[in-house]
Amino acid sequence: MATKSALETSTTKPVSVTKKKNPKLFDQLAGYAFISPFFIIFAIFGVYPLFFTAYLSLHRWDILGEKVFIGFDNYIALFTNDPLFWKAVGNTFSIWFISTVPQLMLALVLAFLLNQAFLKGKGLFRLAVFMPNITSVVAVAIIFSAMFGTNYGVINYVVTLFGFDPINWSGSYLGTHVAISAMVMWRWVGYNTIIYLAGLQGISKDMYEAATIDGANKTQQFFFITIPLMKPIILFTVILSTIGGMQIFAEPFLFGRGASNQGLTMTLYLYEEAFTRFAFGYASAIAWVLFLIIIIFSLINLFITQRIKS
Amino acid sequence: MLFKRIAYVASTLALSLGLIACSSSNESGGTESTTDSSNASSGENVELTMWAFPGMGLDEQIKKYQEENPNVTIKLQETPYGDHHQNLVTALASGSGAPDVAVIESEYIERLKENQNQFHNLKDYGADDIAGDYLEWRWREASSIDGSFVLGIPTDVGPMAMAYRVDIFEETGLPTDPDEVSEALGTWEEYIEAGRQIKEATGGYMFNFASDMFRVVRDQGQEQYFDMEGNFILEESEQIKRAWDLAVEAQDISANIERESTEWGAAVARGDFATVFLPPWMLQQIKDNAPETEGLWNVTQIPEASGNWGGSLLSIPAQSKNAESAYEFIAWLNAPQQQLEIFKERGNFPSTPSVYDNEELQSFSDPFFTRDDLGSMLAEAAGRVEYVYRSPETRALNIIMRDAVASIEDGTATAEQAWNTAVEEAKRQISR
Repeated sequence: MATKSALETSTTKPVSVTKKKNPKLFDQLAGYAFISPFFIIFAIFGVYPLFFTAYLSLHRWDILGEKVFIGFDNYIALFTNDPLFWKAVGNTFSIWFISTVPQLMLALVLAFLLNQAFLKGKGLFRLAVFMPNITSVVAVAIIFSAMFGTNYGVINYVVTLFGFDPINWSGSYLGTHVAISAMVMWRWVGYNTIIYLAGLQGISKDMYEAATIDGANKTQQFFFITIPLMKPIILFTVILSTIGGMQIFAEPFLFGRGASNQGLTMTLYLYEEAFTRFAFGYASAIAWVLFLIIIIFSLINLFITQRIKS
Repeated sequence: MLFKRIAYVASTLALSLGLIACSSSNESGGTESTTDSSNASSGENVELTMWAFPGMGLDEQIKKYQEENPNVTIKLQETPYGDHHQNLVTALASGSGAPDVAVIESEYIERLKENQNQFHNLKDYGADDIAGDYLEWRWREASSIDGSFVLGIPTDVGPMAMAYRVDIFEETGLPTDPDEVSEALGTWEEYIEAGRQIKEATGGYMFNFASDMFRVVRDQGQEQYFDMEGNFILEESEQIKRAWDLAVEAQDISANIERESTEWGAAVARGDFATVFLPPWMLQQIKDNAPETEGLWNVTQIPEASGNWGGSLLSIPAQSKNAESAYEFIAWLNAPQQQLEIFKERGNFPSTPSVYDNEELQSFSDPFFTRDDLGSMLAEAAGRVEYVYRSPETRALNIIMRDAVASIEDGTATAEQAWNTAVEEAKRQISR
């Protein structure tokens, strides 16, 4: 934005003063020069890897040796003979679902509370709620991993206080999914809360006042005014969470994917293929399939969004 | 495990910066090095970069080397275990940024031996002259099959022994004297039986993790997943079958706690398990995690046979332009005398048998672990280790088998399901 406005002001001035074309051309070039860093970096780190990955996915390559061209064998293997990949897809969707649904609900309720007139120290609460999001994901994962420890974890201590058996968090499907989802949730609830808060502030106070006069209580106001008017923003956060959820990596990586690969997500699988097993060609094929899955999933999202909007 | 992961992610950023820094320092080093490869020891200033992972205990000796050779500067860069090898492979593949001296852990040796052209052949620098200093099986591991190529000079070895809690053994009514323990627990069957007695008497476990037991028993055999001709023998291997059966059998006396986790530290401190499988470098970890258990431990031979767990090579990537100075440095660093010093300091056990009879090693003891002949006991364990053939796929297969045993312990698979999954996955991995 800044570049653009600078460009506009500088183009109008010289043109009115001098009649030559050169300064204008110079300004145009300067404009491109100013925005070029992004495109150069994007070309090197975005476009080139994209095509190189496509090229690699048709090869067998252990990074140190020669690339061997094998056509579509990687893709064929991925679709016909790779139980782990499909397990990873399932895990990813499961973790995405367990983390996103309660996360967005909680965020909406929190935003509603933070938006109340009676609340003192709003700034402090807003900051507090956003803090987890800027905390290092590594630190979060380490602390949560310790909390979710099977034998000496805080959470199991509480669980046993209530008379239940300790839960094997890192050694069962549901346990691992819940533990990873908890980390994701803790980190992203605040982020969504702030977005919802912005949305809430766009809703006119008159509506709430009118509802109060008509005798509607807070709960009714929440369900009949807040939620319907927030629909577009809720859809926006759903899309964001979907894209984020498909790429969950650091949490399962640090928590441990578990002996039955119950915490193996798609991106973690990609990483392990490349850097643990040095199968770079295969990992590249996974990357492309992952890309397709995210596109398909986003299109479905978009379709539903359009339907709801109209 | 947890800490490795932590350090991993934390250092990813630092690493990428480090790579940039390295490549630039290499460029500047390149101009100097054209001259100093010819007369490295004659006073020209040389800077050697060295990549290692934490816990190798080399710092003191490196300092000493620099004092004795003021013209040599060693820049030691440590990154966590898993990371370290990834970085190395990446630097080798990209053709720049690799250090002058790189540590290669035994799990990665075979894979990197496949890419000999990425390393200087240490034979060219006189490695043959010192070959006799090292354990025969360790040198074989460091060389190509025909012996024409030497990838690196061996650092320490990890001969397996077993630490046990004297108080728990006593409470159960088992023998407590190391020799008697080793006799009473001479086979794994006897070990499991004793574990059940302990569980009955104290409610505690015998060891931490069934997968670790699988690993220990597996490493007691000479052939693992492949025979010497390179045939895949996972399903036929006697040793694998025995390791698997024992690990399945011993589920009830395993605490299901992974090594090197926060939980492991807490469990050792609380005495949740009566024995710890003990490569010498584990001594330090017990001391660090459970300082209050001082004097409650003793150490003896592990049932049936020893085996090796860990140990590295110091290699010189082909990118290094200071190979001659680098070789002088690593040959010195891994020479018997220096390995002895590192052992006294940290407990990493030398790979040079000539010091096994050394008075200082023989009399090495640690009040933490009670027995006063710890050194000679470990030397005896080292003498029991034999050559094991490993393949480039060994690391991937190790992970598959570890997970398979752990999934039984977690209860997410039956022994039969776990075995079938593992075999299928192993075949799939090596067929690609």
